[in-house]
Amino acid sequence: VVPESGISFQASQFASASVEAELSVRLKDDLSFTSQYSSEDAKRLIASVIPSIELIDSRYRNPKSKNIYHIISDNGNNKKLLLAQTEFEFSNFDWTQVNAEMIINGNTFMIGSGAKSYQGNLLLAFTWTLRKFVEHKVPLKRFVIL
Amino acid sequence: MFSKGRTAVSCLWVSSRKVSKFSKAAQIIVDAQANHPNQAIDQLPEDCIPSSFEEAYQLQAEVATFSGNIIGGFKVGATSQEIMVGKFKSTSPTSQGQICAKNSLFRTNIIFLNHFLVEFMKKIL
Repeated sequence: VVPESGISFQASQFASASVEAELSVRLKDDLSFTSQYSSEDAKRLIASVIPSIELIDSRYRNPKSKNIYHIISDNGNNKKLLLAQTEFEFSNFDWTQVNAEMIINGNTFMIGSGAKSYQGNLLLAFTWTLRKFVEHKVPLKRFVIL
Repeated sequence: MFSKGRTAVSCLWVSSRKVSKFSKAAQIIVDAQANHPNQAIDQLPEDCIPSSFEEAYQLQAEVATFSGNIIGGFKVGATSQEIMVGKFKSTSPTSQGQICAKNSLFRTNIIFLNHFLVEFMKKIL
């Protein structure tokens, strides 16, 4: 999933590191504020789906004790997003059946359902997101990643 | 300010920028990210702790300005039906962030949230 095999991080670069599997979507075109974005409209806006790993960290000590305002100001506790070198066409996969498997030193640590993570439907979550961007007039440019 | 015995943070102020209530907090966060990545902040100074969504996003924007990163995308929390229909009640990070392309070994680096969910978050919390 990471761009380079064998990539590593120093633990000293994190205050309280954790990891999550994600699916990222790259936009094929600019967001249109005049569109209502049906699911078909949204599908046409997807350039690719990219398996990703989010590296989570918090600037705050005892992050679970902090409220949502701290989390927002700290970028949702995000540190980095690792994007796979290979990007997939949305229509080529059944994304409701995609699972993520975390492997540590060759041993499976956790398996998660992509369907559960995206309400069973990545397109549903993506469509909702586009509508929110339109609602709040936040521009999205071509090639931007969600 | 920091754990592990640190009590102060050195801040670099850029005089051309407009000073806001959260400039100091933004400097602290950016400094922590850049110079003390493994040392968590115990708490922001009392006078610049965000206490609303507007303030939290304002601080986020200040952090973005100070960091100088380029936006490459957005982090989105749309993982549950409760969130998406506005019934979510907890304080989980159902937030959205911007992905920055600069200084990224891996093409992207999400570093801060955006104003876009302010109104939405008000409805669900």
